[in-house]
Amino acid sequence: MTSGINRSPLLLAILGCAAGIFVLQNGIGTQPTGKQYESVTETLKNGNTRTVKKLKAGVAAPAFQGISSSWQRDFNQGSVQTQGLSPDQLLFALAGFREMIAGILWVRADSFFDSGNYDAILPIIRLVTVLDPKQIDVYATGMWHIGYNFTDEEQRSDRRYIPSALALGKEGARNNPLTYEMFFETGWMWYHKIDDDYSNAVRWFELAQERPDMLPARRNLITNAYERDGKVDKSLDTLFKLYEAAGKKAKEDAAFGNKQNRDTLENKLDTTLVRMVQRGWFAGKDGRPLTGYDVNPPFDTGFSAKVTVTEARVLRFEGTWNVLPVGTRIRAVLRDADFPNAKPAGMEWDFSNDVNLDPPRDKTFMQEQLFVRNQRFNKKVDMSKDPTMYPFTSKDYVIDFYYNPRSAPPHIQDKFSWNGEGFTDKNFLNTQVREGQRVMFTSVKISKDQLLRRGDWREKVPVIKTANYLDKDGKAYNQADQVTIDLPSLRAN
Amino acid sequence: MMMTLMTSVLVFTFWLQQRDASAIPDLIKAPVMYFVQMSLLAAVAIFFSTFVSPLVNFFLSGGLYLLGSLFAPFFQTLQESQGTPQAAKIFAQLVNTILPNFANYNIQNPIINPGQQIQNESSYYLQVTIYGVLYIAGLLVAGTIVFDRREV
Repeated sequence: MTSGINRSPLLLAILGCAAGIFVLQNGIGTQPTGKQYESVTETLKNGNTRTVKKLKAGVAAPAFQGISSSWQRDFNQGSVQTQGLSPDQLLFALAGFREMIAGILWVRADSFFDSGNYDAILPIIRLVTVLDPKQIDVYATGMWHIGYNFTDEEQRSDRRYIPSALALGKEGARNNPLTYEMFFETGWMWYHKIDDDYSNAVRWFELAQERPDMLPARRNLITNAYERDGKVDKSLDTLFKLYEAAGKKAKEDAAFGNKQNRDTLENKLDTTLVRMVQRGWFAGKDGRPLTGYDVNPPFDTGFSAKVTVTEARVLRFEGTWNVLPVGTRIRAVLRDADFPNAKPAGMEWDFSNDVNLDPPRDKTFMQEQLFVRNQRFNKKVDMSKDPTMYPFTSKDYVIDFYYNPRSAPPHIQDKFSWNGEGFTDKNFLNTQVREGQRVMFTSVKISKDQLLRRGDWREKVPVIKTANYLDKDGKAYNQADQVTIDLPSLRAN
Repeated sequence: MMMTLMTSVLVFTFWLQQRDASAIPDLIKAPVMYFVQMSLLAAVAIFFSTFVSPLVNFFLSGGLYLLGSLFAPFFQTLQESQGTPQAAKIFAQLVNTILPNFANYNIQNPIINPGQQIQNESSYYLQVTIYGVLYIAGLLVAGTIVFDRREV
């Protein structure tokens, strides 16, 4: 039997609860979506700064913000990823334990690191970052792993992975806009690994600088990036600002680290000023002649090169470079002639936002640094042991040689200066392939048959050399069993 | 009681390892929110128990918990998608309002990653607690009405 209680007040109570739930959940007025927020750095009363998400200009704040909107802004971790999880992990992930599953997977990835099973780590990294996009360590380690650790027998990393590493960094920065780390890591990938197109390193380091939690020592690195980007004045300005801030900090708190940072910056500032004078930077800016400065007259590097296909997929690079001090590395790139997004001695590294862990398997992109000693380089590059990395499926290939004074160590830049003012090459100076920069660049063609020593080249040794190449004893290269393909010089002698 | 005990062990272990009592209030936020979340789940189970068998109740409550935990990210994706028809968005909003939104209480991420800057934190916790209390009250009253109509 039923109790026969009066239901009207109970129904009214339910309606009241429902109304309250509706208002609390959905708020009052149009609720902003996640895309309508931007990260803003605020200065607090105590002088500290913090970064918060604020509505973009032109987006009206609602009369009352609902739980749903607030949660999306502050607590949402992105879409739910289920692919690749075992059933028990899937259940946990669906039940809201995504961070825990991500942690377990990351521990498993560590065991793969220990056993050297690098391929197995990639999907785990992807899964962890999707399950818990706030795991900055995983993003940073994943970037490093993808960018650096996929190496061949000679420890050359697979450059086809670099766009994916950058895409992972960009995604990490998007998902963690309140901390500097992923902005710095992405900038570091440009600065150190790609070691070219330094404006990108500067752009990412500048974004990192905007975050208040950036470590002082890492803040200082942007001055080097400015130098490599050719913005020496900007580097100097930044050094002064950093030095001033470091001095203030050391005065407030005389901890060893603070004093050391101030002294380091002072030393760097002094060195930069001396270099700017000696390299004729100020004279150049004032329009004065560079006579008497270190960069004058420009030094002819006398680049020449010879490439010999000694065996199938094995190349020997030999050549000359007149710079005697040790420290020169000339970039050599062997790639498909139609490699997607290729550019001279590199590629458009930043072309993708997708973290594609499966790079183009049918394309080849080998990059090597030719170390110069006693004004010559001589390096054997064996690509026969890693067919997945160097598939050689195309018909035609190019070999680019490239040297940029901006990447040179300081003792060589003392002659060449930052933008190559003291640098020239009678045959291969190029001001086109990197706009506004003086670099050494030349490119030669080579066919698949030559690289694989097949067809007409089965019995003959392909040798490609620049017109100015001379062997070590000063004689032109000539051996009976070798076929020399002479390339015309770019400039008349 | 169990949650209080577990939270006490968590806090004690944290204090033993870190010796930093200042972070404990931040640490306690998640268990408190879990408590409200579990109370809401219990209210859902009590409501279903008034008209279904225990076995069905288990799956219904569990299913609703999963749905309530998962729907919020899905709802966000729908709302921000340009190609989603308006009618689908309105329907999604309706479902998002009716479902007990368990995801509201999943606040552990900023605790694990303290770089996350939460705005109006206290206001948010107060809102979700009131939301939970209202939902629990509504479910219990509805359960009372359903139970009252049954022959016992």
